[in-house]
Amino acid sequence: MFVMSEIEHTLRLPPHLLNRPLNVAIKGELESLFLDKVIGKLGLCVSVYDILSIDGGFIFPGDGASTYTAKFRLVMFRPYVGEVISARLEESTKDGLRLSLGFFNDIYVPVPLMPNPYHIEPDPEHKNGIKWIWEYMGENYPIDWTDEIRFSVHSVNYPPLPIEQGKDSEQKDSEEKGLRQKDIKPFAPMVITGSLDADGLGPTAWWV
Amino acid sequence: MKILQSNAGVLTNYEVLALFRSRGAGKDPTCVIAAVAPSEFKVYDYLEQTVASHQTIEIIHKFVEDCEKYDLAKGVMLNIVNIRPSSAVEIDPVIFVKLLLFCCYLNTIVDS
Repeated sequence: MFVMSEIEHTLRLPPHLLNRPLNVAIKGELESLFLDKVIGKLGLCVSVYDILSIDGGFIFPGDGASTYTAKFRLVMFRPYVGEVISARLEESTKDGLRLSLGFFNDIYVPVPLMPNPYHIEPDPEHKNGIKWIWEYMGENYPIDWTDEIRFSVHSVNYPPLPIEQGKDSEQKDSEEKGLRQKDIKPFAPMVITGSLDADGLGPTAWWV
Repeated sequence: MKILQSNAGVLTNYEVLALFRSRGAGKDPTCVIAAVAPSEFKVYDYLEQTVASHQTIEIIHKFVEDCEKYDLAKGVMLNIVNIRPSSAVEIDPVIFVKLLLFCCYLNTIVDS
């Protein structure tokens, strides 16, 4: 689930950080740059593991701050395809489930990857919510909100950044599609598709 | 930004949790004083609720030694360490080989 990646980056150290030890100041700057950000194909940056080297310290003409080149290692959240991870249920709709790890919420289990055979029922406790129920050997196994759910990673995608449009045209497009403001999903730079369609997957309560 | 090595090593959930604990994550209930960012605290909170919070480095080393005879892939061993399956059905999605001969190994791995 967690992988280390070695990165080299040239960064400008603001002058107000000059009173701090160099490695502490650089680590702070790296954390503000990379922490909780998705780097394409590398995953979600969780933490700065360590700084391997710091070079430079030159002050370029016209600039009041020094520039350093740092080599460092980041702890990245990047699950591999086939990895089994535990998550909590965040959303349950007719399109499938959305799961959450707390620090990462863009995990989707689409309908084709739900446990088969199944049937759905409206969820009275959640507006527009659906309760998914797996049928096995004549028994019904529902997916409840309190369950710890194990899923297998089916794929990890990094959608390209959407082309920015003017606010007026964007609003017009969404009105044409009948979407209200709150229904428009924010852009997710990293999306994990999970599968529950195998023995041992789904709520852990099913298999105890 | 230049990526020197995209995969410079894998970390178990325990190792990431130990990293945050070494920075004082578990000792600061206010989540303000410790040198841990709010986003890192979210990862810490998740890992605290997993089996990693009950593991030690000795347990993981012993497990890796005991699993050498099964010739498992590193990713499979890592996954088993992270989720700690307690029955054969829980280990089934981790190990993809479904040969009948392997069934007898499943219970011994779970026992390990």
